[in-house]
Amino acid sequence: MSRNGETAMNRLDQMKSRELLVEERMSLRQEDFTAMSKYLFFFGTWNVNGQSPRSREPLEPWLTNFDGQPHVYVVGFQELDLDKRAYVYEASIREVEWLKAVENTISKKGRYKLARSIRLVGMMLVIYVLEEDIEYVTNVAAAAVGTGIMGWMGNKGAVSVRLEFHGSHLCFICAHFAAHTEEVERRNEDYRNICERMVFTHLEYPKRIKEHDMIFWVGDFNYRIAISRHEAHKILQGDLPSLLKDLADHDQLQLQMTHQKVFHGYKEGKIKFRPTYKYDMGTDMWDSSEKARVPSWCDRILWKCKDGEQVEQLMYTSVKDLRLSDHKPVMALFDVGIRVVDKPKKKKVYETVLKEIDKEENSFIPQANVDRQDFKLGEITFIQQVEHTLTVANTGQVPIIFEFIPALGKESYCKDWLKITPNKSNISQGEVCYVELQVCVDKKSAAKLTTGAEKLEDILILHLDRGKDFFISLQGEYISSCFGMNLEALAARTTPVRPHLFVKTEQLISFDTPDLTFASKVALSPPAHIPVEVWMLLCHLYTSSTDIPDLFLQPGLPEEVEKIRDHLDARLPLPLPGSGHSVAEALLLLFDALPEPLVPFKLYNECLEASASWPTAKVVLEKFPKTHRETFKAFMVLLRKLQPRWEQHSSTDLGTLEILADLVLKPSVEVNKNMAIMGAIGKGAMKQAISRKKTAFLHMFLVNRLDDEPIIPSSLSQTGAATSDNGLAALPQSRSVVTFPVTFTD
Amino acid sequence: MAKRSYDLLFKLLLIGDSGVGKTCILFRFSDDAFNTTFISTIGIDFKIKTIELKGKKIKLQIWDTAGQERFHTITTSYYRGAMGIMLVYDITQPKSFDNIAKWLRNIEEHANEDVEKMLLGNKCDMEDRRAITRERGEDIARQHGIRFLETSAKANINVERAFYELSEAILDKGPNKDKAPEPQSLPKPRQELSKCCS
Repeated sequence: MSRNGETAMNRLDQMKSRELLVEERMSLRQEDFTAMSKYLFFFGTWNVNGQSPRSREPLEPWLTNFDGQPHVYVVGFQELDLDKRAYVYEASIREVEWLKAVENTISKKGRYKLARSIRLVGMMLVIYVLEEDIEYVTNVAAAAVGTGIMGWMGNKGAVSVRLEFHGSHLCFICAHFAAHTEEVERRNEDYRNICERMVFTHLEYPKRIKEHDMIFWVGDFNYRIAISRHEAHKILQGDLPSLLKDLADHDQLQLQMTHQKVFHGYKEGKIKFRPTYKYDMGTDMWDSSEKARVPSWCDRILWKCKDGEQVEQLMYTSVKDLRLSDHKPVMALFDVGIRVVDKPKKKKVYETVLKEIDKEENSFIPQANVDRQDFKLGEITFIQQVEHTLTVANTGQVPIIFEFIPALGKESYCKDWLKITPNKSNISQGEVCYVELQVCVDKKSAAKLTTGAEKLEDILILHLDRGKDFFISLQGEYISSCFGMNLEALAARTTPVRPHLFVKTEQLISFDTPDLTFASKVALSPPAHIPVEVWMLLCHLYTSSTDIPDLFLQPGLPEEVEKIRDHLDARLPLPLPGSGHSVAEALLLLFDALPEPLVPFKLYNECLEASASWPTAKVVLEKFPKTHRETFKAFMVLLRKLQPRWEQHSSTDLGTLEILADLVLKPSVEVNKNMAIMGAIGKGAMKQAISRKKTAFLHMFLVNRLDDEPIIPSSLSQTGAATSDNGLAALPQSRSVVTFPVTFTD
Repeated sequence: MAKRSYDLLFKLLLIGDSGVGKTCILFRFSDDAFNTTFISTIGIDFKIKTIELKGKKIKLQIWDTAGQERFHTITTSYYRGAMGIMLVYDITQPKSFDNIAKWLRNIEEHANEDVEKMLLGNKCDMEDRRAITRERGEDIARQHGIRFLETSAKANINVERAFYELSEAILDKGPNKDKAPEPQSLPKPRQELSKCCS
């Protein structure tokens, strides 16, 4: 059904945005269905200077030399592979070697599964999760950003893995920033670059580093201790506590962080270990090469978390005993508060969220009120105008568009006796629209209502776009009038159509009333087969309207026509109320409203064919049902009287006659439909030809006379009337002009 | 969270005599509320409600119809496109029970052939005014091979269950052209765009 017709595409779009909305609402209520639980996390970082792991130098001191079993291992490497080919080739032997070394070592703590590893040239990040926890790790994604040569090569930069552990969103970054003491700004730039460019795209909705509950950075950030080598060595002679204190003051990273130049909002545990760089390979001796680097804390572990998250560092140290690189490895242990989802609780919250969204969606369905859904129209007769107002108010939260729509299988949204203005409109929130319902039964609907084939009732469907439908009922009673009545039925009536009008108008009369005027007697006793009401109209026009110009062309006054209607329906004495124009219009209206026109449908074609031959026309007329024939003839008599010079007109400029012919000669609905199928050009020519034939047919009856034409009284006063047995008029006055003899019957 | 399964849209329809409680059943289900004042539905209204069934999110669009007899010819035109129809009677009103056959005929004539039907005997909280036994309800449902439940919108009995059972029956019928298509079968918005530009 089109009224509910949303396209599938549309629906799906709505649903997608719904998904996002649900996710957003759920994250806002996370605390309602999660409980914070502590999980031990291991973080390690080591710049291995391109070396392979060595069996004589096991990794236990770095990876397992502490109490407790980490749930998660996050291990970062830099300079994993110094071979220049690693810039170009994806594969690296070192990667496999180190993964294996880590795996073997941590297996002593428990059974771990690799959640994800990612390598960019020399940088590698591996995440291991305890086997029993791995099912709670979801939406794992990795990304890499190169900031090295040309600003994008992978000799410097970062690799990163993001994942959700239970309900917590975690991000791990292993970075290697630019080297050399003086390159502080370059390192800061590397940081910014990574933050900006790292995007996890292999997710349904891409995420960035900052869009996580907790973020951990490990790596060789390359920030140095900015003092001379000489000075540094002097400090390094001292004991650990004083050494740490003196060096810390010159640590570039701490200084840059204090000035909010890098790692804004990040925390670092207190450094309680000697600088991790630079040693002579295989020893614990400070760099003795020509370059003689100033010892520095290049290798660090930092973290940042959103408000409400719980991260506690338990351990932060370097490992002195691993000597294969010029860097010492660094490790940290954390208790990380993980939001563990309570499934039943989550389901409840989820259901609540769905309910909430449903409620909102329901409240955004267009809503309206109408002040009435049931209109009692009362008693209505032909062309009586009744108006009602329907108030449509927008009571919802969105603008509405309303429209009256046809019921399924119907062509029109209302019956033809009803006019709705506007039948379609939009209304803003809180506004109203007044809809006028104008009821008027005219020729289109009168016949059906008169016979009772239809009732004066309708149910309108007021449809809100994307919303509900209102049914609006209208109900009234059609009071039959002579208008819209079948000619035979009318002729057969011995009583007025609306006798109750006598009472209403207090003009109750009957044939026995002594003061009944002659005129009334005349009008109320028409020749056989002519309905009283038609006769009344004909008599009125015949006696009093001969000198009125443009009769039948100029419209009457509606209120006068209504009075005439009542007068006819009550069969009140002549004269009829109102001007000649109004009476003339009433006559046309009566003919127009006939269910079967004056020329019966089935004789329509014969009449057209007879339009050139008077004898044939006469024959066709004989085929008319009596009522139609007599009425037709009387009508012709009237026309001849009104316009005595028909024969002087050419049949082409008989404008009035053309209009009348159209009323008298009507094709049936079927014939009309066949006409409608024809092409526009053919139709126009055809129409003209038909119209000419119709007029010609009528014209013949005006310029020729039949032997048995009815006689209409020429005056409504007794004195003016020619005497005859039945008191009716003798010859019409027009007789003298007619060139051939006419006989009358009495 | 695993890969999202896209929603389905089910269109359901409530029919039955005037005053049996169709609007109340819908109101109970959608808003979990009950209103004792009787306002006759003169038209067609609907509400949205999302449910989860067998791991699928299903959006129900539930249409409430006018029960008054004078609107029947109009309301039947809304049957088409409904995937499930709930036919409601009032256990305290024998007339509403007698009319079940007529309503079923309406469904037969105007609804989709494969529409899932369910019979609800509403107001089952009003035991003291009961006129139709549960057995009679079950019998007529069995005769016509449709599901049956006694419900009370007022006391919140079986309302949710009724909607879930009807939805499940629709879901079990499997792929249906009326449901929202799977995402992969949809044209990408970008392709649409290029079509417009060319």
